[in-house]
Amino acid sequence: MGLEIRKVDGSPFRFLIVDDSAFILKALKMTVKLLGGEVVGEAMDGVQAMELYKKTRPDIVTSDIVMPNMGGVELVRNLVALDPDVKVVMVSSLGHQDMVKEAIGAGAKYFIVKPFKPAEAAVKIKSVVEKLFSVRSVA
Amino acid sequence: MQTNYSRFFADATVDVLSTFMDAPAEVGPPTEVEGVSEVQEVTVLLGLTGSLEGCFFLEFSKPSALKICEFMNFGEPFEELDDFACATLCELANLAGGRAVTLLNDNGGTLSIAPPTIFCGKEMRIGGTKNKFLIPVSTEAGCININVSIKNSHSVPERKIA
Repeated sequence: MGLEIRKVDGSPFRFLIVDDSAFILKALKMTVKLLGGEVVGEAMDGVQAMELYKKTRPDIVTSDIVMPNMGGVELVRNLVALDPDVKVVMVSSLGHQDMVKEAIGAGAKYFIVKPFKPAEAAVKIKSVVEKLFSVRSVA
Repeated sequence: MQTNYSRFFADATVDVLSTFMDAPAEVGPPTEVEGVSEVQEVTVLLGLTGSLEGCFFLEFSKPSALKICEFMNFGEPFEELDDFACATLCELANLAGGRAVTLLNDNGGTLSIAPPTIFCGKEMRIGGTKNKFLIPVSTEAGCININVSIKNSHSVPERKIA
């Protein structure tokens, strides 16, 4: 199954990925690559993510829940305050369901559970992107 | 009772590894370890606080640690325990510890985990642990020793599933 998607104008979706684990960031980069997307920023906490969001204005943000300086729930709240149309997908370990619910209540659109295989995460993120945006599938 | 707690961590580690490995891991019987004990040359330690207190740590030989990094990074070979390899092993402990704590909390506990720390070197010994159990887990990447040292802060119900 082809996982690559594009915006209707043919350009790639732009992702900001946020996690305090270098290992998870790498897995997310592989996921975005499978989707034919572009990683426009990588942040290891919510504070960095806020700065990068303002600079890069990505289409989609993926965010961890538990991070130093500013966690994922606070990040979602701050992003929604900055841009009510922000699209955030939470990437959480098992055990943080309460915080995931809080993040979704604050405006996050979906969540995926760690650990994940990039191909499986790409399928999930693709279905979310297809619901949130007009997309063009790449044959 | 302590053995049951250690089994939560072994099962959680096996669950996490199953995302990355095709062959199922085999969990060996737990053994109680007393006093100061030697650990293998790569050890990732994670503290536990709350209704149970102690620590959980994973031990690997260096070849097994590198092979696990390769599996967890979808076939990318690792020749040295560089920063990224260490981050990968820390994430394994973090995910396994988080999952075990979730299982324990679902059974009435109120536990939290601290961020993992990795130690690399030969002839390392660990002491100061109480009620320590070691569970060997055989995987495609070699053997992992799972160590759980827990003392009850408050009671947690016995595990419902053996």
